[in-house]
Amino acid sequence: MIKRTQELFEAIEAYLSNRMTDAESSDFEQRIDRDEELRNEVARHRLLHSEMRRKELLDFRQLVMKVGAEEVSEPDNRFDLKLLWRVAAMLVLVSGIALSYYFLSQPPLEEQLYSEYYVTYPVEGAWRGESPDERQKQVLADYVSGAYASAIPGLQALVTQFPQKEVYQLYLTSAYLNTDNPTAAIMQLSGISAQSKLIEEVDWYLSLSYLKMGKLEEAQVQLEKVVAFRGALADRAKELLQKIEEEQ
Amino acid sequence: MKLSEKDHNKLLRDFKEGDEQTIRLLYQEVLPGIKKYVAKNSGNEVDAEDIFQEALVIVYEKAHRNELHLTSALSTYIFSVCRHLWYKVLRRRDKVEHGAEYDSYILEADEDILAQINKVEVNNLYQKHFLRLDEKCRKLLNLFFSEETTETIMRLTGYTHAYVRKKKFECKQKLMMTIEKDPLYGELVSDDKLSAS
Repeated sequence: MIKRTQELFEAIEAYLSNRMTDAESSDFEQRIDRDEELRNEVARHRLLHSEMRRKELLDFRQLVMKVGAEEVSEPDNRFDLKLLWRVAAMLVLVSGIALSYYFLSQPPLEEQLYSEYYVTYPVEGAWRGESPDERQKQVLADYVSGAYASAIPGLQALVTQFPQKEVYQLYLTSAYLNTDNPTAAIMQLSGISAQSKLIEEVDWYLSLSYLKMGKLEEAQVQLEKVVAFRGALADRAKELLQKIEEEQ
Repeated sequence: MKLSEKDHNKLLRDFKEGDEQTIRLLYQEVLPGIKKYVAKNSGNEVDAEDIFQEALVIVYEKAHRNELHLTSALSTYIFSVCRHLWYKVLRRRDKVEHGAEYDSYILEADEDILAQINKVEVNNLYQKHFLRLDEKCRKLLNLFFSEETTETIMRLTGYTHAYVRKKKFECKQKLMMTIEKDPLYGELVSDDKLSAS
């Protein structure tokens, strides 16, 4: 894949919108002929521009989403409004004190959601077919037994020694999260390549790390990636995204 | 008013014009059936809402080109599009186990609906990810794709020239990356369906 830069994008955009001089355009076309990666990138931009200019579909899509959001949040707006108001008033009266107490005693939303969705990255299966040495066994034993603080130095060493084994990085991430250090978890996960086979898990744990820090917007960005990946975690990510959006 | 109380031609006209009340009626009367259908076939409510939205766009695109000549009710046609979309989702999620079964279903399916789904599939992928961008990026890229000049974008957003250029690059790059990460993008590339019209 060609390296994407602002200059490259602007050159392609100038070419596609005929804003180049004849000489510049001819020169750019020669580059396209010579360079297959550039040719493919120009094709990707051309397609993006063409699909995004279908304004009538975009407008309709937005309308459908707007109506959808309203219909889902108001499943049946055909009730007798007077009756609804009476019921609402009674509910407020009866449950006001109880609700106040309940909400005051509840932890913040992000903490509730984090506890609901976070699960320590499981070891089961990941070691299948391998013969861990004594040191690895000890680190693993600490991790499995919940002695995360003890496991962290060993996991850090394993991550350094076996950088290609991304599963160690996920163990380390979980150990950080279980010792209330989401910042270290985020740093660890951010270093994993976007091409990783475990990218779905990486994005999922990144979203939970941000959630733990109360950074809901960043958590949502990561969850959208998990949903877009359409893998095993997509449904849970979609569900969590909805819950965050409902509370905002 | 209910869908069944609306004159067929008026209903189609209103739908084609993107009438909000008509869309609302479709949500109220068609979506519940689709939710039940999807729930019976290994899906959940969110899946049903996703394919329902996609189906509305697919049917709208056809109506917009004056090619929607229905022999059944609009709601029946939308339901049929949803069924095809749902089988595509199932095939994508589970193709190893049930690939043959779903493939035979698709082969027997209505050619017209399949052609229409394929036509809008690429657009759905691109615009769906665009609508998931944050508001700032959506606004900026909307102006850019509408071919507004940088000066107009500066005036409408209050950004400086340098910031418009930088932010446009960042938003566009983000959009392209999320599209390219979508497994559907890989499928469309291998099916050679990604070329600008």
